[in-house]
Amino acid sequence: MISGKNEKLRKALSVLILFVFIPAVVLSGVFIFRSKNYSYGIFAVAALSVMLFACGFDRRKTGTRRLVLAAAAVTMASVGRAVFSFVPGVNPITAVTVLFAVYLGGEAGFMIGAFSALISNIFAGQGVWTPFQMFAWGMIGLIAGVFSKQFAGHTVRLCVYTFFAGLAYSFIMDVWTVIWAYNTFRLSYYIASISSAAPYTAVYAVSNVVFTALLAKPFSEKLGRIKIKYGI
Amino acid sequence: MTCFDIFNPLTVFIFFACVIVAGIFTMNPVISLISLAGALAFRLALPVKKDKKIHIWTVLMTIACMVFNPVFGHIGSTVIVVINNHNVTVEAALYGLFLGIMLSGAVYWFASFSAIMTSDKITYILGFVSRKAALVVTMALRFIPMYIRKARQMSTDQKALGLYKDETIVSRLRGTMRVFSGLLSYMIEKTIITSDSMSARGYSGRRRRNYSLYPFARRDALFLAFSLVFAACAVYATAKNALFYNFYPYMDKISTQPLAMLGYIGYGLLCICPSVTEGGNRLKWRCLRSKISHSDIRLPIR
Repeated sequence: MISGKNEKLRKALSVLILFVFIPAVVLSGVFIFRSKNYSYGIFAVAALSVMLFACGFDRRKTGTRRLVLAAAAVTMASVGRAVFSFVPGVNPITAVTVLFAVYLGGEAGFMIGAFSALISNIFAGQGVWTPFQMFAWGMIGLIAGVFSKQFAGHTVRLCVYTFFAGLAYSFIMDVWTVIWAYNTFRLSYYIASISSAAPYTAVYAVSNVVFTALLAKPFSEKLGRIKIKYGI
Repeated sequence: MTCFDIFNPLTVFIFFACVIVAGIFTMNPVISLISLAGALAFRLALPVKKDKKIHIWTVLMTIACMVFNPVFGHIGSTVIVVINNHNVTVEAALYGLFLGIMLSGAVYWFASFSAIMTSDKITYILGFVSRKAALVVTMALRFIPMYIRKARQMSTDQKALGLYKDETIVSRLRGTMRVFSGLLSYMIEKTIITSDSMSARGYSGRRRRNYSLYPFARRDALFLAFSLVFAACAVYATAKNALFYNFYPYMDKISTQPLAMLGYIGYGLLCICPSVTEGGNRLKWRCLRSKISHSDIRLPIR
């Protein structure tokens, strides 16, 4: 298909997509759907930025071990979400994403967060929210990966980060809810949306801390052991 | 099995993207109703297992929109009651109602999307964006049943070792954590082995191709052409502002100018497209089935 044999064509296409296709999609949509231009704009930006990250991931040289480990992390997060799906608002995706992102780096962290959202939604239900979840969890992973030096081995810092990441996740999703429904960002709607989701947000943030605190220690132990055993 | 299983996933994906994007970003009551009707018709036509709870969700959501919108938004001219100096208006309630209808339509479309787009098809589409990402997702999808099986084994092993879990929450949590910790070690070791054997088979070599089972056939071209043309009608009408509808401060009359009609008809045809394809296919299957019943077959007399 597009990802054909011609390496030059492939490169040209990726540049074209970045500088022509994405702005064109966003701008034309904003002018076409005038009564919904803001919601369309942020939807398109979220969906396309996830796509862009995936493209970047493709171009970068990622070691095979890193790649397979990322797949395993996605599995852990998705299975964890399915296991805890009986408690509303509780899932270990943030905790697992952050812990792996600290070890694997920002880009892999973004991919783990984003694809955990995508795959677990195959079971939990896809929707208009999928690109936003991918974006929100991806950003949580990206930031954790970028600050991996500060986070590595510090369980308390990690717990604080996942707590605020849980809050930020809910707030990002609420921004989307408000803009989608009303096409404007009005504080009264936003406060209404946040307050109606408050119990979930609280449960989510606290459960993140619990997951991180429980997982951080076995995690660093196992990875340290593997580092010695295989000399990574 | 639906007839969309043999379509190229990209065709199906583009169709759903057209329907959903045009449906949710055009805030017009007629379009919202068409979208809901089309989604429900497609749901009926699809021969897959359906979750009945979804109806409760959509009805509750519509009611919630209808109630909460006038409570938090006070614009509109026809006042029902005044609470705490805030007007509760008919326009706001009706905006909520149509918002609910629009959201319900999107929910039903997405339910059908999830039913058709199985994981292999999602992976196929992802392959266009990034082959590495597609590989990660494929591996993760393969790991899920594998790790679940392993976790069950470990749980049984621990029971056999005498590490029982009680019914109390703390004990259960500790037991689960024991299994999880073991699973983590297993997973990391397995990862190293898998990646090393991938490298040994030349994964990190330069040239790589992806292989897929989905050809792009004539039916795909036809379906894609239809959906793009119909979607283009709706988008054209939207772009020319013919489908613009004002709720506040007074509700507009439903526009019947030719351009608006083009938009309604285009979007309507787009929404009915999959139901007709699916229904037509099943009708064809019925018609082509052999009419000879068992009693008609006479065995040759010896």
